[in-house]
Amino acid sequence: MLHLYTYNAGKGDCIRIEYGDETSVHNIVIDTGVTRFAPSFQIICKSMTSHDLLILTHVDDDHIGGILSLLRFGWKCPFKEVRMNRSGTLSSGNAYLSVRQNDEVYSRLVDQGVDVKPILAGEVIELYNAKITTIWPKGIIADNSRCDTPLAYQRDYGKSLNTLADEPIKTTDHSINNRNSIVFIFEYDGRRLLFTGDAWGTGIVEALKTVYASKQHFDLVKLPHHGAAGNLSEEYPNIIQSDSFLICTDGVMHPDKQTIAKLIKWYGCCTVYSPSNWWSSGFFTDTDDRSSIELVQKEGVAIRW
Amino acid sequence: MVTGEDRTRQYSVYITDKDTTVNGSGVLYYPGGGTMFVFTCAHVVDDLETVRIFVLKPLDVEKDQYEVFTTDVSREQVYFSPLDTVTMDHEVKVHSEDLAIIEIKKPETFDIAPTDYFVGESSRHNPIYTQGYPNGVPAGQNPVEYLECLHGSVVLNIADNNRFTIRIEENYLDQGNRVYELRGLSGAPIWDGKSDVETQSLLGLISSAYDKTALLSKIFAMKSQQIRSLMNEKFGITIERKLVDIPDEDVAGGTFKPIEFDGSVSKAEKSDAEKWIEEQTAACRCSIDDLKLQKAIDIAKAVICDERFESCGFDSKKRIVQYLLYCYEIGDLDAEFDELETEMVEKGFFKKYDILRHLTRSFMKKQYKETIAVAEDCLSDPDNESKTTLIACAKSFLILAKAYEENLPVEETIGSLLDEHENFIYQTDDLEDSGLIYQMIGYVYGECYHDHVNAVRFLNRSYRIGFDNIVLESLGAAYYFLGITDATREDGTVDYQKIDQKSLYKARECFLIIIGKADELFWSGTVRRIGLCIYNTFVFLQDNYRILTIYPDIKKYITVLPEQEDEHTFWRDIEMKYARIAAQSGKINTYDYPHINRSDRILLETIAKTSECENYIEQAIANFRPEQVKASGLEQIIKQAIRDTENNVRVIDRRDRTPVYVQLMNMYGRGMLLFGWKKIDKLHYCRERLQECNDDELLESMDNFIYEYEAPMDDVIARFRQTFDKRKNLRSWQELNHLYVRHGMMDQADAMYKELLVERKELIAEGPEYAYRAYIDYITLYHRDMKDALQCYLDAKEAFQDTDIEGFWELELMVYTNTFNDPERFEIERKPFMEKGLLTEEQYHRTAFIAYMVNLNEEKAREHNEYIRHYPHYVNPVNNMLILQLEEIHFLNWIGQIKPSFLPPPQSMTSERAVLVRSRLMNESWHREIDKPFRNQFSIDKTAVIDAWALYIMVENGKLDDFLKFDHVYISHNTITRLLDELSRTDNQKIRELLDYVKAHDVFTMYSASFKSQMEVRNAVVYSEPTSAVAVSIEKKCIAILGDPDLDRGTVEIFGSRIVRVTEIGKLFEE
Repeated sequence: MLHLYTYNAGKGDCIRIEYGDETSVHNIVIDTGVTRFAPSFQIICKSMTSHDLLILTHVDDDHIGGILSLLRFGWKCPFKEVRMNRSGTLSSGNAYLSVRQNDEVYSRLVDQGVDVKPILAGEVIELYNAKITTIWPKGIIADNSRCDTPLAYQRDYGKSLNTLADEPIKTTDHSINNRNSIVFIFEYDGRRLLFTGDAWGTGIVEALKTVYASKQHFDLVKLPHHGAAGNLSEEYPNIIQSDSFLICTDGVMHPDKQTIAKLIKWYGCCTVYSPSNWWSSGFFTDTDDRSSIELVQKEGVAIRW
Repeated sequence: MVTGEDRTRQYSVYITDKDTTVNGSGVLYYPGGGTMFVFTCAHVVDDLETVRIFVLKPLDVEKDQYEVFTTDVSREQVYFSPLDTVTMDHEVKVHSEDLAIIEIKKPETFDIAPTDYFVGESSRHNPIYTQGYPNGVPAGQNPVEYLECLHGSVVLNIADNNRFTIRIEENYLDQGNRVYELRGLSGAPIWDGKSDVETQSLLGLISSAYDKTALLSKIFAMKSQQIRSLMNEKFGITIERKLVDIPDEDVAGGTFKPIEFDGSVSKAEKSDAEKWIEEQTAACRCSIDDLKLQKAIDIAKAVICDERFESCGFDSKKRIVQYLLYCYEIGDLDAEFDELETEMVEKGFFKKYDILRHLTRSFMKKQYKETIAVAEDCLSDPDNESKTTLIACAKSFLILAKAYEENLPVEETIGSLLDEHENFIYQTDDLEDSGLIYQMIGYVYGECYHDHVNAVRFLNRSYRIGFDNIVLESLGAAYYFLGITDATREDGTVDYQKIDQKSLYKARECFLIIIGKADELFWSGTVRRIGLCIYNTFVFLQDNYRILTIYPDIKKYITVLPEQEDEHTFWRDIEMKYARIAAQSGKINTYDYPHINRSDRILLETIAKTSECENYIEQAIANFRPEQVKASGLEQIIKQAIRDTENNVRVIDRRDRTPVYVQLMNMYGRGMLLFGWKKIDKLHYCRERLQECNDDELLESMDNFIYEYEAPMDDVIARFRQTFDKRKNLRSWQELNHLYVRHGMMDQADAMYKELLVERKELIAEGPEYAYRAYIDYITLYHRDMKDALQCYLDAKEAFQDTDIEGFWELELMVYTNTFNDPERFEIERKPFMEKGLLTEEQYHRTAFIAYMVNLNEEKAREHNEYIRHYPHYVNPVNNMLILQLEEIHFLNWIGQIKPSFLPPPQSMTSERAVLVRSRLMNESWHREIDKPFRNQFSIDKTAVIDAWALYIMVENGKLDDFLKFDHVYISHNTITRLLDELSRTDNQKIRELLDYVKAHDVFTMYSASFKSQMEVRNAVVYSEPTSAVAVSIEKKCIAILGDPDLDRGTVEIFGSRIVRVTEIGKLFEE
C-alpha cells in the first residue's frame, strides 16, 4: 500500500506518504505549511497511526510555519525522527528571519528529545522497506541577498498555453533558501516519487545528473516552489520522465501558467494533482487546449498506488 | 457620515491588462474636460502593451455603491519619469523613479466630478492610510469588493530622497510573509491620515516592500511631488499642493478650485530628438521643483551641448534655455546668466533678452525703473501681442514696479490686478503663470505696503498653485514679518514680548522645508535673499541650535547688503546675535567678531562671565548638599563675577544694560539665598537702573523678585501667582516656576510643568517644541525623575519639525539614562553639535569618554580622557588637590592609576558580604521557579541579562566560565558603572577580574533597554542598577539573573516572574 496525501497548507507545502501493509502502516510527512495551517497540521498528525519521519525541506515560513506555531504553543512533536538542515547564520533580512525561525524549530525539537538530524546529498535512509535517497543539497549556503520587493503582482494567465510553451522561461528563482531545499527520491514497492521542496530547476538537474547517467522515470514528481516557472529547467524532459505531477499551492500567487504549458509540451498527456483548484477561475483562456492535461484537486488522499 | 476614507475610495483604481498579466493599483486624477489621469508605479505598467484600468464612480458613497468604468489604454498613453533610470536586478526591472502617469480618454457618458485632493508633503510619524487592490480582482468581480484600506504611519522621511518609508500597522496581515497579501498594492495612493474630510492630501504611491516578506511591515513609497511637476510639464495641469496646518483664511482666493482641463493633449508626431529634449526638459524641471539647482543646471547644460540640440524645434530649445537662465537667476550666477543670455540672443532665441527673466530679475533686485522699461518695451512690441502669459506678466510687473517708483496706493496697483474674488484678472496660459503673479502680489503687499497679512495670503495662494519652491522663501519671510511687525519699535529694534510666535513658527516651517531639500547652490541663493529673515526667525524663537548653525552660512553667502544698510552696523548686529548665544557657554573669544565695538566686547565678556557663574551655581545647587555648596568656593566665584559685572556695566551701551542688571540682581539674589548675604539695597539699586527700559512686565517681575527677599514665602508665592493669573503668559509662568526652583520646591516646579503640558497647552501652543525642550532640560539639570523626561521625549518627538533637534535630545537622554548601545554612533552623531557650539568640547569628550568606558573600551575611553584631563577642575581648598568627577575616578581606578585611600563602605562588594548575600538569596522563594517547562523554554534561547551583584557572586564562586554555556548575556551600562564604582571604592581585585573576563568574552554584550522599555520599569518601580537589567529582560524577552540583595518590594511583586536568583543559575542547565 502506498498513498500520497496532499493538503492545502496556504501557499506552502504539506505532503504525507503513507505506506506499508495491513499490519504495519508508516507515515512520512514532508513540510508543515504556513503558520495558519498549524491547527490542521495538528489534526493530521493526530489522525496518523504512526509518525515515522518528518522532513522539513528548507527554512522558509511556508514550509515550517505549521510546526513552528504548534511548538510555540507547547505541542509535543510525535515524530520519531525529523530531518532538517540549519542554514548559515550570516544571512540577512528576510532570509535571516527564516533562519532564526528554523533554528527555533530545531531547538524546540531537540529540547523535546526528538531525534533531529541534518540531511545532505548522498545520504540514504532505509525506513521500513522504503528507501529515501537524498540527492540535494550538497551543502548549505547562507542567503545574504536583500532587495526591495515590488508590490505589483505579475501573472501569465492571459497568455495561451501554446504561446507560453514556446516562450523561453524568463524568470529564475534567486532565493538561496529555496536553493538549499532538500530534494529526495522516495522508493517503495517499485514506485519512485521525486520530492523537490522549493529547489531551483538548475539544482534539481545537477542533482539528478550527478547520480544518474540516464533519464529517470518517476511515478510522481512534486514540482518545486509551488509550480513557479522560475524553478523549471528546459532540461527536465531530458532527465525526468513522468506523467504525474504534484503542485502544492493555495492558488493565490502560484503556479505560473507557463509551468503547465511546459509540462504539456515536454510530457504530452499528464495529470497534475493539487490540493486547491487554482485553475477554476481565470487561469485558462477560452482558447487553451486542455485536452492533454488532467487536473485533479484533492485534499487528503490524492493518489493510491 | 462620510469619512475621509469614504471620499478617497473613488480615487483608487485597479490596474491590469487584458490577459491579467499584472495586478496593480493607482490613483485617479480628473481635472475636468475629456481626459482623466491615473498615477501609478512604473513597474506596474512597464511591460504592458495595453493597460486595463478599472475606475470607480461613486453613486452613493454612504451605501458603498459605485459604478465601474473599465477602459484599455495603449502604451503610448503611459508616461514615465524622465529622471528614471532602469537597472536589472535578477531579471526584474528596478526603476530609480518608480512613477508613471497614464492618460485616459473619458467617455462623455462617464460623468464624474473633478478631483479635489491636494499634493502634500510627507513627514515623519505622519499617520497615513492607503487604498488599493492587494491580490487583484478576480475576473468578472466588482472591484469595490476587493478594495482594501490599510492604515499605518510614516517611519522615515529623508528630506532629499524621492521616496519615504511607511509601516502598515494592520495586524491581520500574514506575519510570515506580508508581501503575499500586499502584492497588487503597487501604485496605491498614500493619503495623509490627519487631513480633514474636505481636504485630503496625496503624500505618495506604494512602491515596494522591505525584502521578500515586507519585514517589520515596512513599505517603500514614492513621494508625490514629482508627479505634480510632471503633470505640469507634460500636460500643463496644475495640481494644488498644501502646507500642513495652513487654514483656508490664510489663503487668498478662498477655497480650493479645481482647474478646468479641456483634455487637449498634443498628439503631434515627434522626432526622436524632440522626444529626447522634452524628456530632458521635464527632468530639468523636476530637479528645479525639488530644489536641486545644480542638478537642473547640469541637465540643461548637457542638453545644450548635445549634438541633438540643434535638430530640435525652436520652442523646445528655448524652453530649456529659459530653465537654465532661471537656475542662474535663482543661484545668483550673474556672469553665467549674462553669458548665456548674450549667446542666446545671438542665436535668435530672444530679441534683446529673455523678457520674463528680466522682469523678475530687475524687480527682485529692486531696479524698478528697469522693470518698467522692460514691461513697456514688451507691451509695445506687436510681436508679443499673442503671448498671453507674457503680456499678463508685463502688465502686472509694470503696475507693481510703479507701486515703488510712483508711490501709488494699493488699490491702484494690486487692486487693479484682482477681481472681487481676489483672482488675477488677466488671462494666462496656465494656472502656474498666475502663481508667479500671486507670488509677486504677496511680495509687494509685504515689502511695499507692509501689509503682511495679505502678503501671507497671496503667497500661500501662490504656493498652492505654483511649482517653484522659491515661493517658500517669500512665504517664510512674509510669516516672519507678520510675526514681528507689531513688535518692531520705531528705532527698528524688536520687542521680544510682542512677537507673534505663531507666525514665526510658520516661518520656521517654511525655512525647515528649504533647509531639508535644497542643494548648496539653492541654499546659498536663499541665504543671500532672505538669510537675515531666517536667521532672525530663529533668534526671536531663541532656537540656539539653528542660530549657531545658520550663522556660518550667513557669513559665507551674504556678500551684498540690503539697501541703506551700513555694512558695519549690519554685520555687528548679526555677529552680536550669534555671540550672545555663544557667550552663554561661559567662554567667548570676542576677536572672532570683527565688526563689534569695545562696548560690545565688554558686554559679551560680561555675559560669558555671568553665564559661567550661573552655570556654576546651577551645577552646585543641582549636585551638592547645602554645606558642600558653602565649602565649594562658589561664594568667591559669585563675588568675583559681581565685581567684574559692576565694573563692566558702566562701559556697556545703555541700551544693552538691561540684561546685565537683571543678571546682577540674580547673582545678588543667589548670594542672599545661598550664603545669607544682606544685599537688598543692591537689588533696589539695580531695579532703579532698569527703570529706563520701559518694559513694564520686566519691571513687575523684578519687583516680585525683590519681594521674594522681603516677605514670607507664602506671600511671595501668592504674589507671583497673582502676576501669572493676571498675565497668563509663558514668561510669568516661568517666573513662578523659577521661584520654586530657587527655593528648592521642586515638587511644585514638577507639578507646574505637568500642568503646562497637559492643562495649559494654550501657553505653549505657539511653540510646543520649545516647551518640550525646556522641560527635558529642567529634568536633566535638576535631576528630576528621568521617566518624565523620557515620557516627554517619546510623546513629543512626533511634534518635532526640526529633526536635528530631535536627534540632539535623543543623544542627550542617552547620556542621562546611561544608554550607550552604540558608542561609535554616539560619538559620531554628537560631534557636529560640539562643532556647532551646542555642546562644549568638554561636554562632548566627557560624554564620549563615559560611553566608551561603560562599554569597557579602554582605548577609546583613554583617548577622550586625554582631553578631559586638561580642562579646569575644582580644587580642594584644604589639600590643594584636584577634585575629579566620578567618571574620572572610575576610569583611573579601572586602569590602575589610582587606588581608594579609605576603607570600603559596609554595603560594598567584598568577599565577606558576598557570602552573606549568597546565603540570603538561597532562602528566597519569591522569584521565578526553574521547573522543567521553564528549562525547556530557556534551552531554546539561552539568553539572560545579569546584574552587578550576580556577576560578582559568580566571580567570587569561581564560576565565570558558566556564562560560556549561554548564547547571550546582556549587561546593562548601569551595571558596568556600578562595578566600576565598586572597584573605585574597594579596589577589590575580583571585580577587576570580572571586568577583564566580561571584556574578553563575546558572550557578553553591554546593552541598555530602549527608552520605551525603560518606561515600563520606570513607571512601576525606581529605575536602579538591578532594575535596568529588568528593563533589558523585558526588551529582549529573556530572564533577568539578579543577585542584588536589596530589591524593593515593587520589583519583586511586579517583575518577580522574570527574575531568577543567581544562586539558581545551575538549575537552568540541569538535564
